[in-house]
Amino acid sequence: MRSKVAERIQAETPEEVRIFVRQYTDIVLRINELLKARGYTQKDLAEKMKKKPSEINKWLKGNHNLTLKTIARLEAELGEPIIYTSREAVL
Amino acid sequence: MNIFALEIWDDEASKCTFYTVRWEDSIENETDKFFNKYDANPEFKKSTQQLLSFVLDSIGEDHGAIDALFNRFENEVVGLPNKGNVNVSGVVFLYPNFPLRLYALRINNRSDLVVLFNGGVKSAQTNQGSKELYIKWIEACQFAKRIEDALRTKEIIIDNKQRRILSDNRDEEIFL
Repeated sequence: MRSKVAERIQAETPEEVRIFVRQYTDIVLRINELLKARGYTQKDLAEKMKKKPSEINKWLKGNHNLTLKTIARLEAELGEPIIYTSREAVL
Repeated sequence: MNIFALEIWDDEASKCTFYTVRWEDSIENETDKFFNKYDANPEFKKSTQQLLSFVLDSIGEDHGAIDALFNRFENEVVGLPNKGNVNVSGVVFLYPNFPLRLYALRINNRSDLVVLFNGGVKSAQTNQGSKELYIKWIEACQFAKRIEDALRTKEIIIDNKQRRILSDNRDEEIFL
């Protein structure tokens, strides 16, 4: 069973909202894992990326979403893929 | 503390069963009250939808109640959504300025059993500064303490196979 209230709100939720939340959570958890695995602090990351810690902080903490540019920079620094794009043929 | 029921809120998600609490004299549980209230407010409708998706999709279906998603510790309970604060100094990712908080308790720190309470709008830096939220937080802490006491004294037990909380006579109807 599922709460009727949850069912109703979920049914009214635009699909894009659910896709955003799931993907955003996945991306954040992936970055989280990579940072932990590398043992990086925010300061370390800033040094490696030749940025000010405040700038890194702004990317990660700001009001804006993580941009593709930020993800690409993080991916380059952390040396592992963060997001995959399907290359399967569109049916 | 008055008597309350501990009852299932959602058992359809593949990785986590969600419980809620309902005052004995109330027809509506606390989690439904929270979602109903903020869904009806245009200012918070989208955040309510995001938070519900975070609970049912990201926790319920995708990851379970893992540590990284349950890290906004506020005494006995955890505030959702998580703050994405990883184990390194001060890197904060997820929903840094999210306006709503929903209080939750992971049963025995398991990733598959969570009790959801009520919550509110985070309108100040601290809970104490957000008057309505503060009341819900205090209440959530009281619910959580009572549930944890009941687990300690085996007044309620966990059925691992069914991902369920049961009373000591293995009944699904629980009043604490």
